[in-house]
Amino acid sequence: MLELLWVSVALVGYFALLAIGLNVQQGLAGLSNFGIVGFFALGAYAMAVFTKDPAALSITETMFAALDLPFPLALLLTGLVGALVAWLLARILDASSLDPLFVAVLTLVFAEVLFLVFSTQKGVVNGFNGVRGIHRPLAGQVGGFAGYDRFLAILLLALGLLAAAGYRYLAATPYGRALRAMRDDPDAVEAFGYDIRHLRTGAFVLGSTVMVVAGALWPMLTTVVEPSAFRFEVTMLVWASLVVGGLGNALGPLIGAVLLVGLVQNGSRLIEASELSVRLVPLIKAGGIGLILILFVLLRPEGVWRERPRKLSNYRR
Amino acid sequence: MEDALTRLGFGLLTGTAIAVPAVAMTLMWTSGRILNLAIGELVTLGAYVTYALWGIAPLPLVIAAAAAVPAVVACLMYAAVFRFLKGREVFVPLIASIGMAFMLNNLVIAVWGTGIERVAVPAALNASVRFGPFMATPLLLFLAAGAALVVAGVALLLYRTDFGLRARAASQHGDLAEVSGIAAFQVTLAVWALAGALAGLGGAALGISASVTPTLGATLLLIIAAAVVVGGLGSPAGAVLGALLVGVTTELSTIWVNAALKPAVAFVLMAVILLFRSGGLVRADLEPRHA
Repeated sequence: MLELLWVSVALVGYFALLAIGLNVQQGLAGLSNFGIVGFFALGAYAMAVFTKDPAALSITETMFAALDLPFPLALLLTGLVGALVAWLLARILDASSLDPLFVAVLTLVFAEVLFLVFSTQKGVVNGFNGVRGIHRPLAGQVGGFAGYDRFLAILLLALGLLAAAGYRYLAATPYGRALRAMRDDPDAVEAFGYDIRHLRTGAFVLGSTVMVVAGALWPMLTTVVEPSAFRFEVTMLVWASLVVGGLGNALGPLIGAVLLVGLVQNGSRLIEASELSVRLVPLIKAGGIGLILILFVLLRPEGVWRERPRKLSNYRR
Repeated sequence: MEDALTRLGFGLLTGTAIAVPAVAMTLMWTSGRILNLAIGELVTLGAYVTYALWGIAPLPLVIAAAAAVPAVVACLMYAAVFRFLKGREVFVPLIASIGMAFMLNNLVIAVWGTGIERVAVPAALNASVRFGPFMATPLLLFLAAGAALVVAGVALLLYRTDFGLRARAASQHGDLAEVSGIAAFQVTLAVWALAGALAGLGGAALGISASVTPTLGATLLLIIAAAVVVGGLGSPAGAVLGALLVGVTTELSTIWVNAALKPAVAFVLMAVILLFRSGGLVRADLEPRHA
């Protein structure tokens, strides 16, 4: 039972990272990214391609490449690939005049297309069955399965806190302030001479790269990268975490991830483990996540942890 | 060439199946720039109601129920949630609709489980029929005709009746409509009921012709959205056109592309239209865009 606890903490960690990435995009820059799971999948599959040992491929597994690179190099390359894809997508979004609705729809399309290609095309990343047996870094040093889960949980938690601190720092820089100003009034910012497209592209790429890195760490959880982990539900949960936890501040995504992912997912798992009816589980999910989300949107859209109103006195030296 | 024509035929039939829910989504959009992603679940609900009552009740009652239940749910959606979200940032109604879709989906699972159900249709209706290069079944043709009738009925309602006039006025400019004596809320509620009924009927058709499963709505949702976007948000005629176009394009694409990627083709088409002709093919919804 205790091992499950570490896995839960790790899951919270993944979602916290994703939510912080989204926070940069929506909370700071006002970009509604609904393709979160696409970047997450990109990171995970890229790591699979970069680190998988081709000699370890079974006869039924087909991937377009398996490079068996060391973990740190693979991680770096994955980050670069992710940033590049995000940049390309941002350029495409630019062309559509960046109406927020189009950003939402186009990013959603991106994630869906990626999912379809990964999950159905055999020669790319082994389609429906996914890639197995991916090497876990430091597996030798951190004894056993339970030990590795704990290591991963602590690592993700540390990364989450680091990312939150990074967000706080970013929000306080002139760049962060420009982003927030652009979110609230793009015309005014443009009138002051800022290049809005530059600002938006930067924020989009930054947030997406965080998501890609979170995905790069995903194979560490189970050594397997399977398409079933990359459904739209993931995107939905990240948005829910952010909306419930609080947009536009450093702590909100963490609170949201803990509340929604930690409590609700584990609550439903506890009920599954108990004798209660199997039909109750979807009801809990429906109520827990769906209803909570709707209630928050209606009644407390700022989330649990509000964005601090910026006062001029904060900036006087 | 004959092969292409066969696929074209299939595409048109698929298009008619998408057309009715696409019109529903357009109606919800015009009522307040609301992209209701929960419409997929309304379709699913229609399919399940059909399945649940099939054989137990006379056919007209089954169809009526398949329309009525989602209609009520749609009204609830608008009255309890979407009505209060007008004028908020774009992602807010999207998130709310996702939350509602999630709720509805899990409620459906809680009631009916996650299995794949089928509606028992007389075998004769599923017999293959050929017209030259075109292949179909009597069932599919009948459903397509039904869809055409429904769409024609909606067009009549919107453009030839007093109610339709009030509905269009309320959606184009709610405040002005109110001042002119139109009860905007009630009219919009009626429009949502209509949209819900259309979604339910679309679900009934799909449930009868394909299978009934909780993922029905989710898989269909983006195809419907693609149809609406391609045809032009805000125009029911555009929705129908978009649906037919999406159906034909995805079916024809199977000549070159693996059938599993059909939805991807629809999405790419949607993305292309969004980028190069953002009002859709039938530009009915032009508003100044933020740069």
